[in-house]
Order: sequence, then C-alpha cells, then structure tokens
Amino acid sequence: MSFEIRKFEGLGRLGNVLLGRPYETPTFLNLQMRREDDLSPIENQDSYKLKKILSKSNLETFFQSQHQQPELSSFPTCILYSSLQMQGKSLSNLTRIEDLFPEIFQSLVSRDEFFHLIPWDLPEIYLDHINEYISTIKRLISITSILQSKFMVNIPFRSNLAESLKELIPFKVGIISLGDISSLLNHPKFLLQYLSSIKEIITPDVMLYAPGVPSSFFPILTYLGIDLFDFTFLSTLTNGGNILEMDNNAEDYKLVINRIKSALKSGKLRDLVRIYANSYPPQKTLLRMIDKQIPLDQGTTIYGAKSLYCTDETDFSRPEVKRFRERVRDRYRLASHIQGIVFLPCSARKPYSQSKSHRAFQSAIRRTLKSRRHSLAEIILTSPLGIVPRELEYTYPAAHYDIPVTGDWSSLEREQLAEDLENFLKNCPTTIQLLGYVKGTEKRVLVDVCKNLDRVVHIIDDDVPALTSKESLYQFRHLLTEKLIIKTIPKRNKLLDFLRVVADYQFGFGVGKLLIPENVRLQGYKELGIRIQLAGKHLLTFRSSTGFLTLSLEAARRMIGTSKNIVRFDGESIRGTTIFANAIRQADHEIRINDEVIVVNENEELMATGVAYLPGKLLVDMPRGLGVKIRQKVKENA
Amino acid sequence: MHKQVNPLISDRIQEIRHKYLTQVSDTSHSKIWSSVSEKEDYITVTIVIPSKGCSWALSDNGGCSVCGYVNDSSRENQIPVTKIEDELRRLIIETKYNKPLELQIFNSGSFFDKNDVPEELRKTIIDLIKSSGQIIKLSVECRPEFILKEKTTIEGILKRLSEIKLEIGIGLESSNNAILLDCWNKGTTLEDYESSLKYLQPIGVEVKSYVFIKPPFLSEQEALRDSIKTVFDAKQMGTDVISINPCNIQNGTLIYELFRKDEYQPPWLWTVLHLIKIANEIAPNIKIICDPTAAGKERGAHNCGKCDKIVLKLIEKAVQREKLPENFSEICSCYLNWEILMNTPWESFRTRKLSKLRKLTPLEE
Repeated sequence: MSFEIRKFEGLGRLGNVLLGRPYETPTFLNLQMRREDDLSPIENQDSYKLKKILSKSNLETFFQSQHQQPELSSFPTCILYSSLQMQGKSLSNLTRIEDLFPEIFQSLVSRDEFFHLIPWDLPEIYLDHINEYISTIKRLISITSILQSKFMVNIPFRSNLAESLKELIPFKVGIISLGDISSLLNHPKFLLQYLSSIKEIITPDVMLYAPGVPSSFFPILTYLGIDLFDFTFLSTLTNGGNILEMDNNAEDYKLVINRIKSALKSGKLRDLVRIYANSYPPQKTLLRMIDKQIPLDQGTTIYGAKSLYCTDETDFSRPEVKRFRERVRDRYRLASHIQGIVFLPCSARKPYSQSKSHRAFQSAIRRTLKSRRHSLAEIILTSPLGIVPRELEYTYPAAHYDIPVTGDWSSLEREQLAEDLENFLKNCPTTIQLLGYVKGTEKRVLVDVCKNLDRVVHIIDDDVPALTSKESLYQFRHLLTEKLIIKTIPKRNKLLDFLRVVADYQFGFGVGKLLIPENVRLQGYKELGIRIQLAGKHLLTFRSSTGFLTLSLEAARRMIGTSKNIVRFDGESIRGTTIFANAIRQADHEIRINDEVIVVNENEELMATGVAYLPGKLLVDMPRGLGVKIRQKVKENA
Repeated sequence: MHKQVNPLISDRIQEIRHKYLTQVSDTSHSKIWSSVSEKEDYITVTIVIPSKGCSWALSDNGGCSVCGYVNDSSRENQIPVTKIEDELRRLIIETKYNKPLELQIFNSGSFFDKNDVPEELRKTIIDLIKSSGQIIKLSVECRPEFILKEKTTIEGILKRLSEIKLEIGIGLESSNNAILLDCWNKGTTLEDYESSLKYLQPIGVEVKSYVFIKPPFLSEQEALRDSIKTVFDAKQMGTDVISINPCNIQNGTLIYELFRKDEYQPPWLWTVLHLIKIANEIAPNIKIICDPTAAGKERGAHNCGKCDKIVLKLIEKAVQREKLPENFSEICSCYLNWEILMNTPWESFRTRKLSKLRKLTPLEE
C-alpha cells in the first residue's frame, strides 16, 4: 500500500492510495467482516446441527447481511476480524502472527490488496499494560517478513492513548481509525482535541478514517485531514434538523465526496466547508474553532483559485485573508521617498486600478500632482483584507477577492480595518501627511484611528456626492493641492518600486532590494506581465494573473544567501520536470504550496528553480508523490 | 486445582475489588433475604444467605469481572447460625404451603466451600429441610472446583436428602475458554464444568447451567453469538436446566468501571429475547429460565425505555415457549436500531455513539 498527496488545502488532502489498484481519496472505506467460525461447536459433527437451527431462525443470515449498505466493492477494503476472545485466543499467550490473524486469512494478509484491522481491542483498563500490547503487536508484525499489507489501528478518544500508541505507527500502520469521532461531532472542542492528539503522532502518509459520520460533515472533516468515510450513518439514524442531510441516501453521500474532490482540485475546499458548516450550528462552531486554534497557513496556497469569495464572518478569518493581513503588516514598509499617503476606497472590479472609479482617482492625482505624485503612496481600505497598498493590488488574493457589498459594514469588518490601519500608521513616520478620499464607514474608521494616534488626516466632507462625481473629484484635487505639501523629488522608476514591494511580500522584507537592483531592464506592463532582465540575462517574471514573481536561476543565485525557500535535493542530477517528495531531504518549513523554491544539492550548489506542490514540511515528510515542479535547471555541462 | 488467570485483567479486578471492599468493610447489617413465588404446581422459596463470601472473589485473583455479590456477604462478621436457622424455620416449617415446595438456597458463592458456608451451617440447613416435610427439591450453587473437591460432602448430603431432589447450579457463563479467561476472570474452564457435570449427573444430582449474556470487551453481537454457542455446548454436554442471566452492573466490579467510562453497556432486551428464542430451538427439551435482574433499568438489560416492559413480557412468554410475534419491529421502533447494531461492521470499534443508539429515532423507511 502506498499513499501520496496530490492536492492539499487546510489540512485536507486529495490523495492517491495504491492498494492492488489506485483509489482517489477522500473516499469511502469498505469494511468487510470476516469471522473465524466462532459459532462452530466443540464437536465438529454438531456444527451442522447448530447452523441448521440458526438458519431456521434467520439469525445466521441476519448476522451476515450488509444492512442497507450500498455496493462497496469499488472502494478500498479493510478487513475486520472477530475479537481475539471470540476466536478463542487469550491475550496472555499470543505468540504467532497466526494468533492475531486467523490462518484462513493468511493468504489475504500476504497480499497487498486490503487493510486489516488489528483485532485487538484496547480498553482503557489495559492502559497500564500498553507497552506489552505494543511490543506484542510489533513482534507479531515484524517477525513475518511476508506481510505485504498495512494495518488499521483504532485509536479511541481516551487519555494519552494516542501518545502511547505512537510507537506503533511506523509498523505498517496505513490507516488510523477515529473510532469515537461520531460521538464527538456535536462537541467541537473535544473533536479538535481528539484530532490534534492523533495528528501529533502520525506521519502524513497515514490515512485517517472517520467511521459513522453523516455526509454533511464530510467537507469539514476532510478540511481537518480525514481521508476515509463510510456509509454507516445512512443505516443508523437521521440527524433530523440538517437540511443537507434530508436526502439521506448513498447517492447523496457519493455526491458529497465528488464535490469535495472537485473542490480540492480547484482550491475551493474552504468554500465548500463554509456552505456545509452554515447548515448546522455545531459545525459552524467547529469551523470558527479551527480558524482560531489550528494553524492552517501550512496548507494554504500562495495563489490558487481564480476567485476568493468571502461571504460570511468565518471568511474574514480564513487563512488566505489572515496571511495577506499578516504579510502586509510584517513585510510592507513605505519607501523612504514617500511624503504622503492617500487612502482610497475599494472597488468591485479587481485589480482596483482597472476599475472606473480608480481610473478617475488616479487621473485626478496625476493631473494635480504631476511628477510629484511619485512621492505619494496609495492605500486602499477594504474588507476583509484591511489595507491594500497599491503595489499589491495584483497580488493574490487582493485581485481575486469578492465580498457582498451593501454599504453597511459589520462591526467585525470595522474592527479588522481599524486594527490593520492602526498597526500600519504606528510604523508610519509622523512626517508623512495623510489624506483620505473615503466616505462612510472607511472615513469614520480612518478618522477614529488617526484621532487615537494623534495624527492629522485631511479628509473630504461627508456631504459630497458619490466619490466618482465631478464635485467630489474637484474637492479631492483641491485637497491634494492645498493640504498636502509635497516636494519635487528626482524622477523615479515607479515600476521598480512596485516590483520590490511584490518581492518583499512574496519572499520577506528586504528581498526586493536584493533581488531587483537599480540597473535592471523592464519589459512589459503591470496589466500583462513584466519581464525583468539584468545584464542581458533573464532575472524574474512578474505574472499579472497571480501578482507574483517567478524566479530564474539568475534570481535564485541572488537569493540563495537569504536561505529562504530552499529545498535540498538528494540526487546528483535532475531528470525530467518534477522532483518527487522521496528525493527531498530537507526543505524550508516556510515554503507554502505554489511558492517559488530554490533547489540545491548536498553541497549547497544551485540545481534548479521550481514551484512547490506541497508545503515545506510535507515535502520532507511525505515518502512519495509530487514534490517540486521544475521551472529552470542548471545545465549539466555548463 | 491450577487456576489459569490473565494478569492483565485479574490485577485490575483485584485492585478494584480491594478498594471497594475496604469501602464497604462494615458488614454487620448483612441480612437474610427471601422471596416466595407461586408456580402452577409448586411453590419456590428463595433464600439468599449472607455467607462468608465467595472465596474466588476474595482471593488474590480478584474474582469474576462482573460479579459484585461478594459486597453483600458477611465476611468476618459472620451471621450466627441460629439467626439463619430461625429464618429458615419460619419459612419452611412454620409456614404451611398448599403446594409442594422447591427450596433455593443461594449464598452467592459455593455452597460446598467450607470457607464460605461453614460445616455447621450446612448441617443445620439440611436438618431443617429434612424435618420440614414439604420440600421436594433443594437448589444450591457451587463453583466446579468445590464440586470436585467436596465429593464426600455432596454424596453425604445427597444421602441425607434421600427422596428430596438436589439441584446444583454451576456458572458455566461461556463455553469459550478465552472469554472465561480474558473477559470473565472466571478461574474455571469449560473442562472443569464438564467434569463437574459428568460427576454430578450419574450420582443423581440435577445440573443447572448459568449462561451469561454480554461479558465485558465483547460487542453486542459477539456476546449474542457466544451465548448461543454456550447454550448449544451446555445442551450437548447434557445439562438439565439452563439459566440465562443478562448482565447487571454491580458496584465494585470491573464492569462497573467500564460502564462508568462508557466502555460497556448492558445488553439490549432484544438480545436477551433472541437468545432465549434460539435457545428454545437449540434445546427443545431442556428447561430454560431467565429472570433478568434490574431489567429495564440503566444498569440492567434494557431497550429504549418505552418498550422495556413489553419486551420483558415477551421474554417471559419465550421462556414459557409460547408463540412470539413474527415482526418485532412493530413492537417498538428501537428494534431497527438493534438490528443495525447487530449489522454494523464498525461495532468492532465499540464506539460510544453506539451505546446511545437505544435512545435514537431510527431512520424512517
């Protein structure tokens, strides 16, 4: 059995498990009960008699029927056995692998087509003897070299159990079953405790299985890293209240899984999670708690889906938004030549500068300040991203987000904006003059924050008509000329400043200056993409669709000293266009999905540049699967 | 006799037992409990005497995982023989019955164990029975090891009782030795039971076999399968009576600890009903009795709470071998949940949710 991750979002993964044949996860687990013939009586000639009686009473068929279960043969299979005692074996004298798995199933165990549940129940009462348990299992599994199969271990929600079973994981454990999860669905706090206690002990190539969960919970549990589900809830009970569970049938279950798969493929799992979470209060609680407690940044792509829809308050804390706000806070600094800031409202069309309103604002600035405009920074006030510097307007998700607009801001939106604005203005020298061309909520927030910080802000009157109207723009131009004192500075290449801000945002503050020296040659436009060359050699490309830079080997050489985004490759030379995760020895843990990475070999020599398929930690931890897509590699004979 | 135990479990039981017995060490108010029930052609008088306590439960091995009867024993504060004598005299000599009398004397241990029931007490009881003149049958209980050890005592009593029948109840519980060892900590094996039976029947003693349903660590379905097999094995070995005992949770036992941690639930009444139904088919000529303790309560065999009384009636009917309704699902909707429980593969995980299945509304078809 082998498991690899194709796509990753949050903690959720779209994977591929090879078990005789490949299966795409998330999927269902086909549980098959195999019984040692524990009903056969002591004397064999009697067994016929008992069977006859049982069949007459319908009980034997009853025990074997798959009650209301849909066709399961198209899913990966795990075989369950009767408990050891039922097989007539005592825990105290297990010595052979045959003791753990009935002999008749030996052939199954040696074929790598099924998982097997280790048929040893571990009640809490045995916790004192956990080490005996683990050593027995290890002994039993390791002495049998012919064993091909991987096993499933059930870890119930009990004190320290997960920690105690840690040692067992490297021993051919392919699935961990979260036996108690269905009873914790309405208790988000314990559910997260349970999940994180298990996540702590496992490697990412172990799959997680949640038995007996209703379909409406599939998206959020996938988001938390569960790979396998089942249909049990179908046959057990209805939840009653949840509208998304009204069609409680197998087709609906399969539909939900298909939706999850396509959501993962298009980077929209979070949206699906929100939709399902909104249908059931404990699920929504869970989602809020996830945002608060679980570090999801790892599993969040640098750029992904074409759009980012923020439709409710949980979206304000989704990892993409959080990351943007954090990076602007930590990595964006005003250039030294800036003398004033103008605050502008956001626009529906993105990037902002392509909208009608921003074209009007920018033309007003241009016509008023002429060349002096290069000393003026433009900051867009918006929700939920907070403050968006003009230079980052192309950057994911600033150019990709969309929110429902009514003109009324919720208190949460106001607070987030005020927080970001305050943080920004605190680091902003007091010599820099502030001007607000904003109305309504944005204006109130701006005025309040400036009042708190004792800063003067020039702002347009509240009673002006729409900001795009002639009167308003006239007042704006008036403010720009009358209130701002901006001295003429030597002519600057504004595009260069723009690219440096992007590089800082992408790789960390300071990288922009390092990567883009003054003497580069720029070709192209912000709107279409920019090619950056240095001394005739290609350095970087700015992609307007994502708002990020891609690295060439030349740029990698300049950046290698910062030891950011470094991936250490085990081999001697790279063939083909992909590096697989098994060949990656070490990687910067700050690497995120779709980040530009620099591939080096053991001797710290540059080998290639590329794009990460997985976050840095997983690049190292995963024993197989895609790792880095190569962009450029060093030619062997060069 | 060499007793095989699994230290994994017996150590824990011993610990729980010791702790609880220290808590309830004051045994001075232990008393005699009796009941009279009238059947069609005889009257049963049941007397439970607080003896010194089952020596298996008081041993270093801690006793059985499900049994807390030793809590009610007198231990050091032994009740004077005269007090028991008075009570017995009142019940079986002074009270006159219009039907023949079957006397059951239980001591929640072994009647033939000298350390449990002293020689003097046993002699007094037999003397009283002898002088009563109304009694046709005496029922006692004993662990197999004491049956095999105290052969002369048994034979002596049998001689004294002469025309009065003697019935000895043996706790077979399960015919699977691994279950007896790992789930029960029973200290006996199927072979011990078999040799006791093979010894008792030829000398004219009737054997009543106790079959337990739902020991710890087994799922509902596994427990049912095991009990079915046990009934079958007991019948094959030739027991005279089978007594089906659904679990009830007593304080100071391992099963209570499990129950407290949500790791054990008593069996459903549906399980008990099915067991009796099948037992009737397996052993058509053997008397089957079933009198669930604490039935319908949280600590005893129970269903959803709505149908407990009805199903208990059905169990009574089943014991009388009367015809049962065809379709149980019409009786109560929780039957569907029980069916699901019996069929769910992940019951192997023994999750907590399943313990609550009884109370949930099943899916509408």
